[in-house]
Amino acid sequence: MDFLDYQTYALGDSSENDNQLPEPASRLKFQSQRSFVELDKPFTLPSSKPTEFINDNNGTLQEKMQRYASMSLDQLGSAATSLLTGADLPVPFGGALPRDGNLKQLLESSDSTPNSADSLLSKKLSRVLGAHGRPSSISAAQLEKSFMILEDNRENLNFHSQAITRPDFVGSLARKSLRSALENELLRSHLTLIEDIQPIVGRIKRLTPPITTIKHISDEILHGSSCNKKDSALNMEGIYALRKKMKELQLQKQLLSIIREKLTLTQVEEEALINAPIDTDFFEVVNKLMRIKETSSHLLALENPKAGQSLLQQTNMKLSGASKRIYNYLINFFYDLQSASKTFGERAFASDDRSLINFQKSMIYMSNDLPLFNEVLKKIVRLRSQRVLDDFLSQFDVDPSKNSRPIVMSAHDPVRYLGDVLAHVHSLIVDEADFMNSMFKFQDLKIEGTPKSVLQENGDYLNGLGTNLLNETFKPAENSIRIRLEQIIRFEDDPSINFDICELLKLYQMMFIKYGIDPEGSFIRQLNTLKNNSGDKVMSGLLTLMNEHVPEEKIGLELLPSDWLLNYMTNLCKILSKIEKSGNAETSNYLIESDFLQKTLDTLIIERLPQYYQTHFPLAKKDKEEKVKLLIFEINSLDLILTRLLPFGLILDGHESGCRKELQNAIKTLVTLESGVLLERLGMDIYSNLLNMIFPIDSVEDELDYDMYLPVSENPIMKIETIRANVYDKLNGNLPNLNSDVQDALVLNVVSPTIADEIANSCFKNLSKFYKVFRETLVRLYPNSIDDIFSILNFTSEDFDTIVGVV
Amino acid sequence: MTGSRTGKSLTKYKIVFLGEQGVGKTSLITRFMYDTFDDHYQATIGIDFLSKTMYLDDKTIRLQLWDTAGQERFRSLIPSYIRDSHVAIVVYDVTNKKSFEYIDKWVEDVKSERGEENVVLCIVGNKNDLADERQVSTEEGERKAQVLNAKIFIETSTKAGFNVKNLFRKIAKTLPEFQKSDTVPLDDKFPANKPDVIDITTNNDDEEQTSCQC
Repeated sequence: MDFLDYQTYALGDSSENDNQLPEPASRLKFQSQRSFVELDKPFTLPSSKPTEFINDNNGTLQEKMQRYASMSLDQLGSAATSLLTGADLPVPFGGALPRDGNLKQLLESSDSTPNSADSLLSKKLSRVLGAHGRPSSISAAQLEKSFMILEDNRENLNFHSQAITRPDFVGSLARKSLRSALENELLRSHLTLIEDIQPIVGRIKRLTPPITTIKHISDEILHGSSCNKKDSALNMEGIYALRKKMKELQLQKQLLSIIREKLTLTQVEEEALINAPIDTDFFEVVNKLMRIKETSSHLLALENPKAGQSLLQQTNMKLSGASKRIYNYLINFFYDLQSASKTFGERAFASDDRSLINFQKSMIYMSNDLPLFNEVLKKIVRLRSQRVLDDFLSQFDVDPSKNSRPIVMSAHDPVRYLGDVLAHVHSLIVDEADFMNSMFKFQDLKIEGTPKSVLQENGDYLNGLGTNLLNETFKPAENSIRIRLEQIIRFEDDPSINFDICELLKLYQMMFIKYGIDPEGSFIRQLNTLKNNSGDKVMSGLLTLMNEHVPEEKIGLELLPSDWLLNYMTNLCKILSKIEKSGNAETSNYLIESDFLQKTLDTLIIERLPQYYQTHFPLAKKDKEEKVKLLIFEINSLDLILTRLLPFGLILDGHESGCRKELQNAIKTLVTLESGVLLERLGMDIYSNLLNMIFPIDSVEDELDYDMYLPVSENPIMKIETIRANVYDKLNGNLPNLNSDVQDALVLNVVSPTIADEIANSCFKNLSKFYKVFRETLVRLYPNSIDDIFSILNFTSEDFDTIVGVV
Repeated sequence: MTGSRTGKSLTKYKIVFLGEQGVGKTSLITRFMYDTFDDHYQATIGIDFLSKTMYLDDKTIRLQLWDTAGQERFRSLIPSYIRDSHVAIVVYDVTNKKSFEYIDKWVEDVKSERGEENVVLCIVGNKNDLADERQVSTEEGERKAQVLNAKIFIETSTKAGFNVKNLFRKIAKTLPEFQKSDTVPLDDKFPANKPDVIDITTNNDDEEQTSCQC
């Protein structure tokens, strides 16, 4: 490649200005390039004057040039040159540019003033073109290629073909610039090439000695006679061994790098562990430490566990430091919370509160260090317990200035006082449960990056932590609560009130358990003890009432039930009514299922009342009248009991049957006694005894039964005259008033008219039956003295029934 | 320290629900809390408790709802809960005249425990969707509320979800927290987006309520 040299193609009349022009860059010397071709044939410019040419293709180059020049000038002449601006116009050789002239004028002027520039240009072109035809010069293809390259890089080189071809100074300058640009471009490309080659050269130089050595060695191996086969084999094995060892070392290095990354903390992490706030960054480091700990346990399985032990020791130390930091954070957090609550009132966290999440995360991490974790819990419990206790006790402070509504013990309504206390405790429990649930609800917490083991191992415990803390929080307050309740329960003797207390405690136990209080915990146990105490006092209160009758108490003539029995039954019925109100048996199971009714009812009927009768009717066994009184009193008492128990049939479930049986026995006995008294009044008692001894009167049913009595005729009292003496007067004297007398006496004493009627009816029925059997027996005994018999027993059976009122 | 580390200050208000058995006290609370309604009646045993954070007019408060049992056997417990309540909501069933008549007794209990001034008394006529079975007219309810000096009277339907939020909004507006104009909002973030907060600022049950603010 060569450079075009238009150096001399400059203005001929400006030799002075030539010196001011930039010096052309020195020509690059490439040995491979051919030097400039010399022109030996002069070139003459074709005439610019218009000439007529014959249109043929023949002629010399000079002629062709002449023809084309002429044609070009014609074209130019005909074209309007007015469009050309001053800058585009060719500069005349005189140096002054004809601003408003046309090209023709310019050519004419140039023609008229031929100068040395023309001749120089001619010379140059002749050299360029003249060399065209020579074999040694640049081939046409090469030239074309060169121009095409120029054309392609037109923009890069800032190449203006018009300016370059201008013969004036501007042209010269443009050409010089082009040359300079071309040289720069070429230099740059060469430098790039050299730079590209440089490393290759360097490498070649570096590799040359070893390659030469290898070449020598190989030459020696291939051609040397001193080396034998065995040696070469040994060497190869050595090489393989070394290569293997190298690979092993590389793997070892890789492994060690990974281990270092996995098992050690970076400086930033170390710093975060010690100084960063308890937040995400800190937890990330702790996570890493935990992972290291997990991994280090694998190292312990190695033959030499020293590395594992050492790593584990270090990690544990760091984790312990982290735990202490978390511990301090948690304690501070709770103290802040507590003091803020005291100063600014109740605090609350939204579930997505960042500080709350941080706190919960800290608790989770803390759970790995059980001693510290327990310490934190203890402190939390202590703070919360204090708050609960203060709050509880404040309810009893009477401070008019605070417009407070304290819980005041009311003598007439102890149940209300207990209700207020328990309701306040209930409110404290739900408040605390609410707080604990908001603070210690871990199951919804997503802790990214936390080693699974933390949540897996401690998950169950952590999830129940709120409830556990709630129970722990109430432990210190338990005694105060118990004392407040006990001071009422201990001194309350009314069984009905105790029953209410018992029910109240039972209900609150259920409600407390509902909000998280442990059913097996000490608080519920204490409430249960109080409940049982009051339950027991229901029983003992009733038994006291049962036993508290005054020995000197006298029974009135009316034979009405005693006051103590009335009082006892009133209380018992109150309780039964409450049991019934409580809805169903299951809410009062403990009363129904236990021996409550047995103790309260059966004992009364089987033990207490007979004792009472014995005390107050000591002569009843001897004195018939006393016995009747006793029986009437017994009937009245039992009737009272049964009447009072009547509405509670469902609860009693047959327990009153014993009482009913006793009543029936008493009535039966009274009927027997009264019947005897009536027979005595009629003078027939001895005959009744006699006949009953042979065959019970009640059992007489048909005619043949009367035959059983035939042997009595041998008895002297059965003589008609004796019978007349014994019976007639009494029968006729007493029978008409017998009914009214008996009715009056019974109604007066037996409270229940139904029972009184029943007794009277039974007595008269017995009397009637006996009269009938006695009369019939006598008729059969003395068939010949029927008139006498009818004169003694002068009432027919029907008349007798009518008089005594038996239907 | 009032920073976020120690949470936000939150005033708690106790609201006690009173009324005869089966008037809809529990369902009123359930509708407010969970926006649900259960057709199956289940009697409340003892006293139930629920709490919810409520957002209104840029302020957040915590409501503690005490749901009492209407059954006779639990009556003795109720005064202990009225004792320290800020709001008493006496509920009756518009289809049950007797439950309406018993309002007087409940209001008397409230007044004997809290006096006339220390409690916000609300009278709520529930089940107003059962128009065919209505036994107590709205006018009767309003008159009764006026006579008893109740601050709020409203008819609701827990089944249809009618006026329930309205009731709580009215109650909230009577509370001291919302009476103070200079109270600083407790939370700069809009808490209604949080899952544990009920926002009653927007009237979701936009139904025209037939009630008066006595």
